[in-house]
Amino acid sequence: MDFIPTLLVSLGAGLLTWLLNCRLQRGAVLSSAVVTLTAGLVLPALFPQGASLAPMAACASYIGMSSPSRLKSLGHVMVALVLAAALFTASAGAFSGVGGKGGTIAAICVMATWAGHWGRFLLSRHRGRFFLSRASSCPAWTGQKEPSPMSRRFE
Amino acid sequence: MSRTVISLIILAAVGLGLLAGSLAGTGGWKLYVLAAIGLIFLCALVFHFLDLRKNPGRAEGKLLPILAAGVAGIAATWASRTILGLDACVASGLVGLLAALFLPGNLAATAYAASFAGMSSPTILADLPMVFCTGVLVGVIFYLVQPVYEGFGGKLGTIAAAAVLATAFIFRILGGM
Repeated sequence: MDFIPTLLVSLGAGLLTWLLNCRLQRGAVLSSAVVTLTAGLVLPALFPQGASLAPMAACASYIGMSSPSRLKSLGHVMVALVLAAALFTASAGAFSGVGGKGGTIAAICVMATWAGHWGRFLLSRHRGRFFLSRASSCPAWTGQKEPSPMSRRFE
Repeated sequence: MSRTVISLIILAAVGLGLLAGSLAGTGGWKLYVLAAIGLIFLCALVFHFLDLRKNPGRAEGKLLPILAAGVAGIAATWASRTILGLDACVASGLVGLLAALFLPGNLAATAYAASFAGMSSPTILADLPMVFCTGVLVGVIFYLVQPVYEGFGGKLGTIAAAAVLATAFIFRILGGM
């Protein structure tokens, strides 16, 4: 399966669900169901490979069901959708015929994006602490001017 | 705490199973992408476990209505596919839409999760007892993991995949006896 059409379908369906769910507050199940139903009806009629793209649209709509506490911004949703398109393309042979494959891909990508955000937050916090601890132990920070060993030597 | 551990084990088993199956049949850039996603997913499971130790969620709803919604959701999807001949996505979307319009929050989510399980191919869910067993398992797993997976998109699909794989495993064992 080609990556570019998969990515475009993923972004379209995922962002539409996210818009319905998080911005218009229509509820996660209703938003995803509407997008999945529309994709299942429209994509096979529009494109020759639409029947294989409809499951990608469904998978992307599951990502759009995430609450804002997990995917905090539009950027996070888009990262999760790009990851889902890559994973969907790469996992063509796995779990074939098992219902819930798209949802599992969505869960992996949402968790990975959430973990990336969490990791960045932890890193920035610890980096902040590290610089703060160095700064607080630095004489220039506390305002005390400690003479350097060289200047002591020349006194 | 046991609920958290069991739920995370289910999530890890299904997610890593999918990633391992994908890794086995791929190469090139996809291999690196899958490996990176797998590593970050493992980190996410650890982060989520640490997060849940601070804020453990609480289960909502009663088990019996959830089980009923699960069985009804999968039966409706399976019937739409086999009797009416609808496409899997259309059948699932239709069941989800009806569930969202007529059922309250948790029950609609259970019915929608069951509709994902109903998207399985007829080679995996071959007959009605398997469909019924999957519907019950979807309800049980949903009731168990609901507070742990809160807010993550794809939780319903993971529940469905776990139920389908468990049913296939159970019926394979029973068939071999």
